[in-house]
Amino acid sequence: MDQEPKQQQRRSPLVLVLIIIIVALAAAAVVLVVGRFSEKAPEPVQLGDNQTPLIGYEEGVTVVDDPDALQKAVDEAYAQAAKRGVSVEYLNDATSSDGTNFECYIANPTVSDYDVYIQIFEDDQFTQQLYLSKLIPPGSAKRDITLDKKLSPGTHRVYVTYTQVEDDHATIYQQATVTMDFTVEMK
Amino acid sequence: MKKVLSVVLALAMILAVAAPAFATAPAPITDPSKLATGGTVKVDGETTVGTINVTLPGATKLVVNPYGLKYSGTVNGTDLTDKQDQIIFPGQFISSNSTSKLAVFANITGVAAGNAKFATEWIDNTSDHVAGTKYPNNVCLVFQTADATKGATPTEPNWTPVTAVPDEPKTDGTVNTELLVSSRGTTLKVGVLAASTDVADDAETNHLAFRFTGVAEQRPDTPWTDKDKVTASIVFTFTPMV
Repeated sequence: MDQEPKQQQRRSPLVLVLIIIIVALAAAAVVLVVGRFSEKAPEPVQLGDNQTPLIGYEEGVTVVDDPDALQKAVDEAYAQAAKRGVSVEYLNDATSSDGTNFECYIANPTVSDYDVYIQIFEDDQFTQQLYLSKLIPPGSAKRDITLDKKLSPGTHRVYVTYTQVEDDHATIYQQATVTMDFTVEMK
Repeated sequence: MKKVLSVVLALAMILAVAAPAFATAPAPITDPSKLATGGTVKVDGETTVGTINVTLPGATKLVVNPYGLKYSGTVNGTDLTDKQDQIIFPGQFISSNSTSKLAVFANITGVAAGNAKFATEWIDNTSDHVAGTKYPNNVCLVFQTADATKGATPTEPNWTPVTAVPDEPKTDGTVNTELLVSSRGTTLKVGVLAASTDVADDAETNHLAFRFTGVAEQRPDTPWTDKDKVTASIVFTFTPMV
């Protein structure tokens, strides 16, 4: 007679835990279902007749499916292309007897409308900088420069970047890169 | 009499030819020490290669329009109404006012971002997709150069449409070079700029035009987004030619 209440007492915490788990799972399911139904359906893309694409668009596409954004990008591209380019004036070869001090001719031509600064890199990835100039106004040239790093004897192809800056001396206008050959004479 | 006259004329001719030689003959060395020392004579040599004087485009926007949407506008007199190019890049010019004829070399390195990839083969957007085949966000980007008319203001040449991947740098009457852009840097000769006959005259400026063209996968497995971009950097080398 006494064994039944004891078994019931043992089962009751287990049943309670099971009930709690079931209730929690049911609540989670309700939250998920309600959440899904409450999500707003995506708005269809409204395009004019002339803007109808050949294929439908996926969600998440932003710029490239937007004719206005495309037109803006095209306008910017053509406006940028209309700018006068970067005028450069230089001699291809520079020479040095010690590997550090080079005789050269790198000029900002008189026809240029902007001050420039010159960066010289050892590699075409522009990671190994050999030289950084201060601003060079139009009609001026560097005829000798001292590199930050000594080059070994022989001829080195280097990458010379002209960067035009605005009058505020803080804003880059545009850039162009040419190569030069820096030769360290054999002793 | 005739013999005397001919001898006089002959002597007169010899003197006429010889006179300049006598006039420029160096003074004889009279100091024996200079003869004794010997040594080398320093000759200051100078090779005139001419200054390279060119104008290069700065950074220019490359727009990829994979879905071939229409765009329009009139820029620099060019009517762009209802164009649908997938690669949009206004023609650019390298302009030279150099006294030397210049060989132009370009090192072109492409960089793809997001899901964009550089294609190694031409993309046919008109054919149906084949089940089980992957269609990545490929861009077949081709660099093309052409001669432009000499003058103060360059005008865009009539570009030869690119319809296939150039196997190797292509050269014909109008196209100097066609190169498939990849993430590997490629250097090649892209054209020649003539010497300027009057460097002070803008009308004597010589131009080489270049552009990017090509196609993009219109229906990739993953839709295009604005995170998918391709850019290309160009480094120019100019070599004076004789």
